Amino acid sequence: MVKIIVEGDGDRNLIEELLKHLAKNEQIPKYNFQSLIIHMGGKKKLLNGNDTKYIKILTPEVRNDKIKKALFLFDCDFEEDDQKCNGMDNSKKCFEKLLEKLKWDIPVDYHIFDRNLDYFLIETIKDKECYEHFDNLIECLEVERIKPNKKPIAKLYKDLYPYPKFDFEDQRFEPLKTKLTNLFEKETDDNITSN
Amino acid sequence: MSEHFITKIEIKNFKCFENFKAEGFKRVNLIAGKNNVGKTTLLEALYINANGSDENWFLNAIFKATRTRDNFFVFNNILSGSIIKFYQTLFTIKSRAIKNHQLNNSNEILTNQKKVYFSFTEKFTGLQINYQLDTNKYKENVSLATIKDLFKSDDVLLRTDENVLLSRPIGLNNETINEYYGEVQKLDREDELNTILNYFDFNIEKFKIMDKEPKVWIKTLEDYLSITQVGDGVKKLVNIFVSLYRVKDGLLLLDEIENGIHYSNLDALWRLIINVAEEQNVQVFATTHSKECIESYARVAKRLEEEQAVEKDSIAFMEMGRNDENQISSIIYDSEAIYELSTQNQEIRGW
Repeated sequence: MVKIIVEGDGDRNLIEELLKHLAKNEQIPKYNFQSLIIHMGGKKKLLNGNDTKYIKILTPEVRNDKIKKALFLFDCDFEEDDQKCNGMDNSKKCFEKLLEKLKWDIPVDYHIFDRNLDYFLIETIKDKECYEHFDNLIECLEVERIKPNKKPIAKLYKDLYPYPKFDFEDQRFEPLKTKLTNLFEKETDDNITSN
Repeated sequence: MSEHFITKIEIKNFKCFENFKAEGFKRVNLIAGKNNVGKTTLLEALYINANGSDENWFLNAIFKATRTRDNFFVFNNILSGSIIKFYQTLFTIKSRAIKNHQLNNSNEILTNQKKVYFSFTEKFTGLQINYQLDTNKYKENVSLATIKDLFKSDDVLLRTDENVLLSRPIGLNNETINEYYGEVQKLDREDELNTILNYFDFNIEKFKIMDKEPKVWIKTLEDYLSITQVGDGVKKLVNIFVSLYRVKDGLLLLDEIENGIHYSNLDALWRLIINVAEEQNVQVFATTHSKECIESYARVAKRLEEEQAVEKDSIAFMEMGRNDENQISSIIYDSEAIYELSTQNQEIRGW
């Protein structure tokens, strides 16, 4: 089976919805997608090869051929918050170190969300006019100055709309859709592909 | 964990296992996997191995572990269950034996507790059994006459290690339930059985042996009914309860544990098994196909560990599947891992 490894519940819900959308369009087979997505409890844990979820669950599953392909999804985040693994270059470096540590002999791919998932969600919601209002709200509340990301706004949106209306046809979903579609294709010799 | 517990096993050429290894078993072990990955065969291997310190036990264990399934031989004509008839069949139906038993292959079932080697070999004179048990020297060319001599009579009682039980989905017969219930009575645990029976079905108030027949008091009928007349779940619960108390310091093997049990009663069943297994120092291996059963196991194990009601690290979950070479393979998860997997709704019923 394939495994999609994500940071948290928010990522899990989005990916599940996106997979259902791809299955509806017959781009991938229908499946109980939730069972294929495991959340690690944050970016730090996802990039830590010594995390118990890797040691007790995922690596044994790879070694015993239960997991045959994997896709990692995580946020780029802001360099000022963590200079070690935040920012695109650092995120990639930390991910490469993770793979060296894990020593998995299966095809592995990854996708890093620009800034973070919250930005991605807000920017790709179906109601485009709402997005403009979000931007006004952010400006008005000086969110960027107080907390330089859109987490509070994304949280507000998710509180109001537990089942967000994602626009999966938005072009910004394409790279992610391609990676997910590739994941469900038959195994190839491809190993790590760039973001 | 107790020293007598099996923590690892290695099986070679036994039924579907060509070369299988697993390590990390604990006091209570739940095993899941798709059809035909060897869940029941693993229980049978554990049963044969656990009976590997006495040749009488060993030959009986092979008989008991295989006679109720048609994997080795045709048993349709063996109604009496006589062990001599079993071995007569083994010695006479050669073609079937050759086909199904990998004749001349050496079978090995090794655990951290015992070593058992055996083979069925065809020679000019007919089939021969060769075996080496943990405490015995190698026995070569054991013939039917030798087995008859060993068991003395066609109707010999099937004797195996009393502290090792293999429980099939069909369950125990009334006679055996009566015998095992004696242990419950000795320990004054009748009320506990009545409590959990009442939890399973509020209409059942009391368990009692009457005229050598296990019965339960039905409130609405104001009368006793034989447990063969009530639901399978009730009979299954009684089977498990009396078996746990019967095998103190021993090994209990439960095949298809969830059969007949409604999902809402699974937590109570696991709480019983995990608690009594610790109290009676019993090692338990159970198999299942049910996701609800695995989730209940993970939930109850976590709760009992948090309540410090049982020792930490005394629970394991084994998932079986096939690797890329189509060989049977397994992963053993501890209680923390299985709880994480079940709460994240991951696939844990085999691959």
